[in-house]
Amino acid sequence: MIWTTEQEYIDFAFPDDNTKTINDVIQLMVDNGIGSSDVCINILKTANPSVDWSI
Amino acid sequence: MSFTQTRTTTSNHSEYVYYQGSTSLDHSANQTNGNAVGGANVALAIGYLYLSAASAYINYRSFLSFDLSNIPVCEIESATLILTRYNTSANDFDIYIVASEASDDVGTSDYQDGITGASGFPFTDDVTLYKDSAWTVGGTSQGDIRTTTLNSNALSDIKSAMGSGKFKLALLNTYDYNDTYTSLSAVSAFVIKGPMFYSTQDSTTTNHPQLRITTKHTSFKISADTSFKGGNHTIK
Repeated sequence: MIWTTEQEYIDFAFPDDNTKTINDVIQLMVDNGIGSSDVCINILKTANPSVDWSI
Repeated sequence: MSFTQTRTTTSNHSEYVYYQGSTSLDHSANQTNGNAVGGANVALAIGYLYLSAASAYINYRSFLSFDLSNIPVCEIESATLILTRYNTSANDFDIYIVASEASDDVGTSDYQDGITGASGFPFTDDVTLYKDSAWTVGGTSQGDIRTTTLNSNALSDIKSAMGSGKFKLALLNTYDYNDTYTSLSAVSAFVIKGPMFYSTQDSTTTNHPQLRITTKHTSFKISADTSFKGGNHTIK
Protein backbone atom coordinates (compact mmCIF):
# COMPACT_ATOMS: atom_id res chain seq x y z
CA MET A 1 0.00 0.00 0.00
CA ILE A 2 1.38 3.36 -0.98
CA TRP A 3 1.44 6.07 1.66
CA THR A 4 -0.91 8.90 0.86
CA THR A 5 -0.51 11.08 3.95
CA GLU A 6 2.34 12.54 5.95
CA GLN A 7 1.08 10.71 9.00
CA GLU A 8 1.87 7.35 7.40
CA TYR A 9 5.47 8.42 6.96
CA ILE A 10 5.57 9.51 10.60
CA ASP A 11 3.99 6.28 11.85
CA PHE A 12 6.51 4.22 9.90
CA ALA A 13 9.47 6.16 11.27
CA PHE A 14 8.14 6.39 14.84
CA PRO A 15 5.62 3.58 15.31
CA ASP A 16 5.42 3.97 19.09
CA ASP A 17 5.43 7.74 19.43
CA ASN A 18 2.40 9.83 18.52
CA THR A 19 4.12 13.10 19.39
CA LYS A 20 6.34 13.11 16.33
CA THR A 21 5.88 15.27 13.25
CA ILE A 22 7.03 15.14 9.66
CA ASN A 23 9.89 17.44 10.67
CA ASP A 24 11.07 14.72 13.04
CA VAL A 25 11.08 12.31 10.09
CA ILE A 26 13.20 14.75 8.10
CA GLN A 27 15.56 15.17 11.06
CA LEU A 28 15.85 11.39 11.34
CA MET A 29 16.84 11.23 7.69
CA VAL A 30 19.37 14.04 8.15
CA ASP A 31 20.83 12.32 11.22
CA ASN A 32 21.18 9.11 9.20
CA GLY A 33 23.38 10.90 6.67
CA ILE A 34 20.89 10.92 3.83
CA GLY A 35 21.55 14.61 3.26
CA SER A 36 20.48 18.08 4.24
CA SER A 37 16.85 18.74 5.14
CA ASP A 38 16.29 20.10 1.64
CA VAL A 39 17.68 16.91 0.12
CA CYS A 40 15.53 14.72 2.36
CA ILE A 41 12.39 16.74 1.64
CA ASN A 42 13.12 16.48 -2.06
CA ILE A 43 13.49 12.70 -1.80
CA LEU A 44 10.08 12.40 -0.13
CA LYS A 45 8.32 14.79 -2.46
CA THR A 46 9.87 13.18 -5.53
CA ALA A 47 8.76 9.76 -4.35
CA ASN A 48 5.21 10.77 -3.65
CA PRO A 49 4.19 14.17 -5.04
CA SER A 50 0.51 13.51 -4.48
CA VAL A 51 0.81 13.69 -0.69
CA ASP A 52 -0.38 17.01 0.75
CA TRP A 53 3.02 17.87 2.16
CA SER A 54 3.35 20.51 4.86
CA ILE A 55 7.10 20.73 4.37
CA MET B 1 70.75 0.20 -2.65
CA SER B 2 67.00 0.85 -2.63
CA PHE B 3 64.67 2.49 -0.16
CA THR B 4 60.98 3.27 0.10
CA GLN B 5 59.09 6.45 0.85
CA THR B 6 55.46 6.83 1.91
CA ARG B 7 53.27 9.77 1.00
CA THR B 8 49.65 10.29 2.02
CA THR B 9 47.44 12.40 -0.23
CA THR B 10 44.03 13.66 0.88
CA SER B 11 41.25 13.50 -1.68
CA ASN B 12 40.73 16.78 -3.48
CA HIS B 13 37.06 15.92 -4.06
CA SER B 14 34.71 13.09 -3.20
CA GLU B 15 30.97 13.01 -3.68
CA TYR B 16 28.15 10.61 -4.46
CA VAL B 17 25.67 10.51 -7.30
CA TYR B 18 22.31 8.83 -6.95
CA TYR B 19 19.36 7.86 -9.03
CA GLN B 20 15.92 7.87 -7.44
CA GLY B 21 13.23 5.91 -9.22
CA SER B 22 9.83 4.48 -8.43
CA THR B 23 10.17 1.06 -10.07
CA SER B 24 12.89 -1.03 -8.41
CA LEU B 25 16.46 -0.81 -7.18
CA ASP B 26 17.56 -2.75 -10.26
CA HIS B 27 15.85 -0.18 -12.46
CA SER B 28 17.55 2.64 -10.57
CA ALA B 29 20.95 1.01 -11.04
CA ASN B 30 20.26 0.56 -14.74
CA GLN B 31 20.26 4.26 -15.62
CA THR B 32 22.72 6.34 -17.58
CA ASN B 33 22.42 9.53 -15.55
CA GLY B 34 21.74 10.09 -11.89
CA ASN B 35 19.24 12.71 -10.79
CA ALA B 36 21.12 14.25 -7.86
CA VAL B 37 24.56 14.54 -6.30
CA GLY B 38 25.68 14.66 -2.69
CA GLY B 39 26.45 18.37 -2.77
CA ALA B 40 27.30 19.54 0.73
CA ASN B 41 26.63 16.15 2.29
CA VAL B 42 29.49 15.15 4.56
CA ALA B 43 28.83 11.47 3.87
CA LEU B 44 29.65 9.23 0.94
CA ALA B 45 26.97 6.64 0.19
CA ILE B 46 27.50 3.47 -1.82
CA GLY B 47 24.43 1.44 -0.99
CA TYR B 48 20.74 2.01 -1.38
CA LEU B 49 17.77 3.73 0.22
CA TYR B 50 14.45 1.98 -0.09
CA LEU B 51 11.07 3.12 1.15
CA SER B 52 8.55 0.58 -0.02
CA ALA B 53 5.32 2.43 0.72
CA ALA B 54 6.75 5.61 -0.76
CA SER B 55 7.89 3.82 -3.93
CA ALA B 56 11.35 5.26 -3.44
CA TYR B 57 14.25 3.26 -4.84
CA ILE B 58 17.61 5.04 -4.65
CA ASN B 59 20.96 3.62 -5.75
CA TYR B 60 24.13 5.46 -4.70
CA ARG B 61 27.60 5.54 -6.29
CA SER B 62 30.55 7.45 -4.88
CA PHE B 63 33.41 9.05 -6.78
CA LEU B 64 36.77 9.97 -5.27
CA SER B 65 39.60 11.99 -6.76
CA PHE B 66 43.21 12.43 -5.66
CA ASP B 67 45.38 15.15 -7.16
CA LEU B 68 48.83 13.64 -7.67
CA SER B 69 50.20 16.39 -9.88
CA ASN B 70 52.65 17.54 -7.22
CA ILE B 71 54.15 14.10 -6.71
CA PRO B 72 57.14 13.34 -8.92
CA VAL B 73 56.84 10.27 -11.13
CA CYS B 74 58.56 7.26 -9.62
CA GLU B 75 58.11 3.54 -9.14
CA ILE B 76 55.30 2.50 -6.83
CA GLU B 77 55.52 -0.36 -4.41
CA SER B 78 51.99 -0.21 -3.01
CA ALA B 79 48.94 1.98 -2.58
CA THR B 80 46.35 1.96 0.15
CA LEU B 81 42.93 3.58 0.21
CA ILE B 82 42.02 4.99 3.61
CA LEU B 83 38.41 5.82 4.44
CA THR B 84 36.72 6.87 7.66
CA ARG B 85 33.36 5.32 8.45
CA TYR B 86 30.38 7.65 8.68
CA ASN B 87 27.89 5.02 9.81
CA THR B 88 27.97 1.87 11.86
CA SER B 89 28.36 -1.53 10.25
CA ALA B 90 24.80 -2.56 11.14
CA ASN B 91 23.67 -2.55 7.51
CA ASP B 92 26.92 -3.41 5.74
CA PHE B 93 27.53 -5.32 2.55
CA ASP B 94 30.57 -5.61 0.31
CA ILE B 95 31.67 -2.89 -2.07
CA TYR B 96 33.86 -2.76 -5.17
CA ILE B 97 36.58 -0.25 -6.03
CA VAL B 98 36.81 0.53 -9.75
CA ALA B 99 38.56 3.02 -12.02
CA SER B 100 36.78 6.31 -12.57
CA GLU B 101 36.86 9.10 -15.11
CA ALA B 102 34.27 11.25 -13.36
CA SER B 103 34.32 15.00 -13.85
CA ASP B 104 36.30 16.98 -11.30
CA ASP B 105 33.16 18.43 -9.71
CA VAL B 106 31.14 15.17 -10.00
CA GLY B 107 27.80 15.58 -11.72
CA THR B 108 24.71 13.52 -12.40
CA SER B 109 26.12 12.47 -15.78
CA ASP B 110 28.94 10.69 -13.94
CA TYR B 111 26.46 8.12 -12.60
CA GLN B 112 27.50 5.75 -15.40
CA ASP B 113 29.92 7.73 -17.56
CA GLY B 114 32.11 8.40 -14.55
CA ILE B 115 32.91 4.70 -14.34
CA THR B 116 35.76 3.94 -16.70
CA GLY B 117 34.71 1.40 -19.33
CA ALA B 118 31.01 1.41 -18.48
CA SER B 119 28.85 1.85 -21.57
CA GLY B 120 25.71 0.17 -20.32
CA PHE B 121 24.35 -1.81 -17.39
CA PRO B 122 25.51 -4.20 -16.13
CA PHE B 123 29.13 -3.16 -16.55
CA THR B 124 30.70 -5.95 -14.52
CA ASP B 125 32.89 -7.16 -17.39
CA ASP B 126 33.77 -3.71 -18.67
CA VAL B 127 35.21 -1.87 -15.71
CA THR B 128 38.74 -1.88 -14.31
CA LEU B 129 38.94 -3.17 -10.78
CA TYR B 130 41.28 -1.41 -8.39
CA LYS B 131 40.87 -4.26 -5.91
CA ASP B 132 40.74 -7.80 -7.25
CA SER B 133 37.73 -8.84 -5.23
CA ALA B 134 34.95 -7.28 -3.22
CA TRP B 135 35.95 -5.31 -0.16
CA THR B 136 34.36 -6.26 3.14
CA VAL B 137 34.90 -2.91 4.77
CA GLY B 138 34.84 -3.91 8.41
CA GLY B 139 34.92 -1.63 11.38
CA THR B 140 31.87 -1.14 13.51
CA SER B 141 31.43 2.48 14.47
CA GLN B 142 31.38 5.99 13.12
CA GLY B 143 34.92 7.29 12.95
CA ASP B 144 36.52 3.89 12.43
CA ILE B 145 39.34 4.16 9.91
CA ARG B 146 39.32 1.45 7.27
CA THR B 147 42.14 0.65 4.84
CA THR B 148 42.52 -1.59 1.84
CA THR B 149 45.40 -2.27 -0.52
CA LEU B 150 44.85 -1.49 -4.19
CA ASN B 151 45.96 -3.78 -7.03
CA SER B 152 48.37 -3.43 -9.95
CA ASN B 153 45.73 -1.72 -12.12
CA ALA B 154 45.57 1.04 -9.56
CA LEU B 155 49.35 1.27 -9.25
CA SER B 156 49.65 1.72 -13.01
CA ASP B 157 47.02 4.48 -13.08
CA ILE B 158 48.50 6.16 -10.02
CA LYS B 159 51.87 6.30 -11.74
CA SER B 160 50.23 7.78 -14.84
CA ALA B 161 48.65 10.52 -12.72
CA MET B 162 51.83 11.34 -10.83
CA GLY B 163 53.29 14.69 -11.79
CA SER B 164 50.44 15.62 -14.05
CA GLY B 165 46.92 14.76 -13.00
CA LYS B 166 44.34 13.10 -10.82
CA PHE B 167 43.80 9.51 -9.80
CA LYS B 168 40.09 8.76 -9.63
CA LEU B 169 38.11 5.81 -8.38
CA ALA B 170 34.49 4.87 -7.86
CA LEU B 171 32.88 2.86 -5.07
CA LEU B 172 29.98 0.58 -6.03
CA ASN B 173 27.96 -1.76 -3.88
CA THR B 174 27.91 -5.46 -4.63
CA TYR B 175 24.27 -5.50 -5.79
CA ASP B 176 24.94 -2.67 -8.20
CA TYR B 177 28.27 -3.99 -9.48
CA ASN B 178 27.11 -7.59 -9.84
CA ASP B 179 23.60 -6.69 -11.05
CA THR B 180 21.99 -8.72 -8.28
CA TYR B 181 19.48 -6.24 -6.86
CA THR B 182 16.73 -8.53 -8.12
CA SER B 183 17.77 -11.22 -5.65
CA LEU B 184 17.98 -8.80 -2.72
CA SER B 185 15.28 -8.65 -0.10
CA ALA B 186 15.66 -4.93 0.40
CA VAL B 187 14.82 -3.50 3.79
CA SER B 188 12.54 -0.49 3.84
CA ALA B 189 13.81 2.20 6.20
CA PHE B 190 14.78 5.85 6.48
CA VAL B 191 18.38 4.65 6.40
CA ILE B 192 20.90 4.26 3.61
CA LYS B 193 21.97 0.63 3.65
CA GLY B 194 25.61 -0.25 3.07
CA PRO B 195 28.81 1.31 4.37
CA MET B 196 29.10 5.09 4.36
CA PHE B 197 32.25 7.17 4.67
CA TYR B 198 33.11 10.81 5.27
CA SER B 199 33.38 12.91 2.12
CA THR B 200 35.60 15.89 1.42
CA GLN B 201 32.68 18.10 2.44
CA ASP B 202 33.21 17.24 6.11
CA SER B 203 34.75 20.09 8.11
CA THR B 204 37.31 17.79 9.69
CA THR B 205 40.00 17.27 7.07
CA THR B 206 41.44 14.22 8.78
CA ASN B 207 38.15 12.42 8.04
CA HIS B 208 38.51 12.90 4.31
CA PRO B 209 39.42 9.96 2.04
CA GLN B 210 43.15 9.46 1.74
CA LEU B 211 45.51 7.61 -0.58
CA ARG B 212 48.76 6.34 0.89
CA ILE B 213 51.41 5.62 -1.73
CA THR B 214 54.65 3.84 -1.01
CA THR B 215 57.25 4.60 -3.65
CA LYS B 216 60.53 2.81 -4.19
CA HIS B 217 63.79 4.45 -5.11
CA THR B 218 67.30 3.41 -5.88
CA SER B 219 70.18 5.21 -4.29
CA PHE B 220 73.81 5.10 -5.29
CA LYS B 221 77.02 6.33 -3.77
CA ILE B 222 78.82 9.10 -5.58
CA SER B 223 82.49 8.47 -5.73
CA ALA B 224 84.68 10.81 -3.75
CA ASP B 225 86.49 11.94 -6.87
CA THR B 226 83.35 12.81 -8.84
CA SER B 227 83.48 16.35 -10.14
CA PHE B 228 80.88 18.54 -11.81
CA LYS B 229 82.18 20.79 -14.51
CA GLY B 230 79.38 23.13 -15.52
CA GLY B 231 75.94 22.32 -16.85
CA ASN B 232 72.75 21.64 -14.90
CA HIS B 233 72.58 18.76 -12.46
CA THR B 234 69.54 17.44 -10.66
CA ILE B 235 70.04 15.20 -7.68
CA LYS B 236 66.90 13.69 -6.17
